[in-house]
Amino acid sequence: MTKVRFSTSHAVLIVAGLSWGLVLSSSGAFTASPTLGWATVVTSAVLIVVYSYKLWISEKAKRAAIERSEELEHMRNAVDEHCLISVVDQNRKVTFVNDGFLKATGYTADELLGKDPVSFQIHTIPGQPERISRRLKSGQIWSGEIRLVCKGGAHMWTHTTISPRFDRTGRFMGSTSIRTDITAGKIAVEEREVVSILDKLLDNVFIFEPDTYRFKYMNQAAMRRVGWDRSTYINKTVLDTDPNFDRDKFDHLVAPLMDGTLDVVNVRAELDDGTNEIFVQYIRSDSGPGSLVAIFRNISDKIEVERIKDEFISTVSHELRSPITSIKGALGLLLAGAAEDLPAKAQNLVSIAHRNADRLAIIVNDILDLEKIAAGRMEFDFQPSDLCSLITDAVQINSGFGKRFDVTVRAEGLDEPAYAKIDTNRMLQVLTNLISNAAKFSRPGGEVVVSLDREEDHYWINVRDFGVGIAKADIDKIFDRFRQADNHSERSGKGTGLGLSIVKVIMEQHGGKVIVTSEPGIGSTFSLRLPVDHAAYAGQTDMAMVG
Amino acid sequence: MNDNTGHIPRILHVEDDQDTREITAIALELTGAVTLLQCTSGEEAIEKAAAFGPDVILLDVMMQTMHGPEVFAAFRQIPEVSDVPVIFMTGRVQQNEVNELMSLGALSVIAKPFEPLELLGTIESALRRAPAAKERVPAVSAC
Repeated sequence: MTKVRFSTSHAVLIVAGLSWGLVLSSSGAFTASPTLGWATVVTSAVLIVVYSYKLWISEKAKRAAIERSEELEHMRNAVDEHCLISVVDQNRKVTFVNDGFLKATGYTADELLGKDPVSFQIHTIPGQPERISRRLKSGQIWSGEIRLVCKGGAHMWTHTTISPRFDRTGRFMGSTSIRTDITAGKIAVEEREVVSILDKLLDNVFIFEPDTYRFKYMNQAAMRRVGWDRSTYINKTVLDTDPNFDRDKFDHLVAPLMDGTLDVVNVRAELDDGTNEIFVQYIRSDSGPGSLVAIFRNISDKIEVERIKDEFISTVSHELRSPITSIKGALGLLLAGAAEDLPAKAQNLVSIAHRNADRLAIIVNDILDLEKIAAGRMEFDFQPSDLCSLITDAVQINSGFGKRFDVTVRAEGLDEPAYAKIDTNRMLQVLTNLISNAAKFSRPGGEVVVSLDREEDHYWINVRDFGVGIAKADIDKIFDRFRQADNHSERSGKGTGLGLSIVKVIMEQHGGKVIVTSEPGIGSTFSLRLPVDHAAYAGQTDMAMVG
Repeated sequence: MNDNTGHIPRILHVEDDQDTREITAIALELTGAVTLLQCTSGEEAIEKAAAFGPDVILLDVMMQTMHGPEVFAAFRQIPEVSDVPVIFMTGRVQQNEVNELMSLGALSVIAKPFEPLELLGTIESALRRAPAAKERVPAVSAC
């Protein structure tokens, strides 16, 4: 019930009425005739009452209209805030867009006014705009999903309701569209689909927080592996997956991910279902500490294939050894004069054949070595040794090789004992490889120097030649398997291409490494680093004091 | 052997590959005087060893019918041959494999491929390191 406000017009009316009454009464209307006087007063009163009532009603209506208008205004603001509103005329040209529309799409009013909405909408169903127009013109509301293109090209999914407008004569005047942005919902649906796919992958997927290692997500395969369900894993951490979980080891494993040194780490683990390869990645987040993702992939098949391949290579290589022995043996004996002395040409040819039989033998040995390394079966017998003896032996063993290329091999820096834990056979293999390469790439009459340098905790054995050198481009690949550097020396050709990769592995197994420096035309130096066996020195000192 | 007795070493060589046998024979004869009996299988060697009376046995490891170690064990059962030093010849030379063969009681292991010209020298130096063999009266050779 609207309150009747006592307005000015009421007051004026009442005063006027009373005045007139007073005038009348004082003017003697009453004296002329009391009936007339009273009739006048009563009529005036009635008129005043009726008129007041009319006023009151219209005020009330006005009030109501204003309130309704305020309500509509309020609703309009609310809708304006929430919806994208656009109005088009009968020619389908935009005549109005609300602020919400502009804010959501990033356009300015100028860019939209006068345009056909088709220009900022995407219709995947052919003929849709025409169908919508027909429906609207027939007086029906159209409702559906329409994709908008925002300024800048981003797509926005909207749920749109379009209402046609007609004037009083029934002529079509255009339509008003009200839209809500449902993009977030659409994305959520797609993401749900993705999660569903992730859920069913055969690989195990574990997602957990860094630091606390609390689980955020495990896919079905992961849950099966650990034997948990969703309500269980939500409250668990990675440490709970195994009673013997080594927290320190795990921290150590993920540390390079957290500080950004590595993008991914991987390890192999023997699990109930066979060998698994585990990849762990750190995914950053703008809003939080990010996530660690661990993916388990069963590689038992892959490993089986590798094993079969390696076994095959090994079998074949062993098979090759016998015939190579016979070839080398027969040719060697020929050269040694076991048969009659050979004429010069025959001697030469037999030499060539013998040398290549040697090469074959080396290649077969290298292949077998690499296969052993790959299978983790290369055995090392580390003993405390004096590197000076090692180097002296290596130089002596390879002096013949040097002679063949007219190159002198000598040693330097062997004045004091140098103790390290080495597998002597393997280190001899390494030094032989390096010295023979050095001799091969040296100029006739040149020399190869094997020197020993000492640092606080390491020794460096350097094999230096003054030959053709190695091109910068080749240095990076030099320790790759089956890689031969391009070189222009006529004496090139011998050498397996496997040797240096084996050298690298052997050095790594010794806790050391091999590096190469070279300058084309000047020469190359291959340097082997080995850790000092401090304990051996202590032992020696004790002995010296006792002795 | 260079032991000044003028004794010509009697070598029993057990090897199933013919080419390897030929090369070994030529190499040994080229580098020194030897009396050589070559057998193509473990079974044949077992049959003929006692009668031949070897000073040293060269035993191939990987053979078709009987492997080297099996033949070695069989030799241990034959009185006349049981203490003759045996040298294994093999392509398998990882340290642990060599250790295994040595632990059977072999005198030495020679790796294949071997240097034919050095074969005799290798055999001789191995024998020199061996504990002294008792005097053996060479039986009449049946080869």
